[in-house]
Amino acid sequence: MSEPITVLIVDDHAVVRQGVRTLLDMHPDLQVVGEAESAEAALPLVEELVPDVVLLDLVLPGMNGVEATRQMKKISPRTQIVVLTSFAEDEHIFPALRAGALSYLLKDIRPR
Amino acid sequence: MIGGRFGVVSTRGLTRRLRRIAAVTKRFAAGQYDQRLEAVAADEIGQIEAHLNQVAEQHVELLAREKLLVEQNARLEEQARLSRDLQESVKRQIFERKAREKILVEQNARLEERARLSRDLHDSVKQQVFALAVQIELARSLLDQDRAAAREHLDEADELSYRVQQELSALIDALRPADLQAKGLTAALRDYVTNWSRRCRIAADLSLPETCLMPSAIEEALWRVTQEALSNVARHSQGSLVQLHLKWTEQHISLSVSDNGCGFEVNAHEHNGLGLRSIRERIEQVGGTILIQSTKGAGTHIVVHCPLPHTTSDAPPENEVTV
Repeated sequence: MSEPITVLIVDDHAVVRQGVRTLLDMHPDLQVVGEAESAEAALPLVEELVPDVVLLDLVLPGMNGVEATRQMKKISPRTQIVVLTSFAEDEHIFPALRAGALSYLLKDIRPR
Repeated sequence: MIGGRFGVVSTRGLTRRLRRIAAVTKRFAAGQYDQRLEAVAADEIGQIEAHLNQVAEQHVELLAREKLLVEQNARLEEQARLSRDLQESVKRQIFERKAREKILVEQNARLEERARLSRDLHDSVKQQVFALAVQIELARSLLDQDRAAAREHLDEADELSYRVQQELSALIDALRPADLQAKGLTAALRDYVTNWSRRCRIAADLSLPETCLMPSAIEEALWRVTQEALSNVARHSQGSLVQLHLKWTEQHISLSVSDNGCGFEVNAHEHNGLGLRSIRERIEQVGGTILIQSTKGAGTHIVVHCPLPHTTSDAPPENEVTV
């Protein structure tokens, strides 16, 4: 099996981090290598772990997701940033994409 | 013969002059001073004619002065009236500006309330419901392979749905009008804090004064401070006890809310920025001061001091709006 894709989860809500981690852990080709509750706490982890993907909440206390995206891409250009948001109309989505995010995911699970 | 004729001539001249004097004095009596007598002769009648002319001139002059005075008086009255009107208009403008300012302050407070509600819903309920959906999704995926693990996720979902209910109850409670006017601040605070304490399972130590009279704007501001402070305690502090003390004298009211929770860095905590700024503005609007002290690990202490106006009546003085 090839190396799993390493993921860092950045969200200020512990329940969200825990849920996403458990979901990702169910996929053998994904490996959660770290969690952070703020962008400030995440930046050193990006430098240290150089994850393949950062799942980054857009609304964070302190530095917001857009600025965090910019700084993470500077620290580790090969890391792909996927921003998480509660709303498809979030005004920060496009600034985040312009700042270097690969894509965005809605914090939304639809009934089957 | 010559003497007789002279007598007739001079008598005739005299009569004519006297008649003229009579006619002119009659006009003078009627208020018409436009005619003058020919005072050419230096005799007694000539002197009377000259005096009458003088009297007429003086009268005309007096009338002109009187007219001037009347006109000046009217101008002064007009100026006084304009000045009064101007004063009234300035007063009215100040009154209207203060009323507009008051409306803006209220609108601003309402917008901030809505922003706070939106933030609270996003920060708490929205995230928890997402996490809840994740746990249900996990339970569903594991149902056939690992029932014990699936049950764990369902338990987690259970806990999350309980927390969502608590958060929603807190938000609904915070949105409900306080009915401060009917109950008064102390009774409203007692009811609110008692319910909050039961719901959040955080003990509350209340100390409220017997008498507590103040303008409704100050009551409203203290009410909002209490709501924001307790909402922060419930959501962030992880504390187990809140002490709420209200002290009243005729000159001052003070409110202190303390918790034994984890505290936060007052300046660094942008997460709470809007709520704390909003209550600070409210207190400053009613002339009070607010002190927020918090140390990591040593709880948070909020103290509000507010001077009370001499009368506790709500009625604003004439042409003034208490903002």
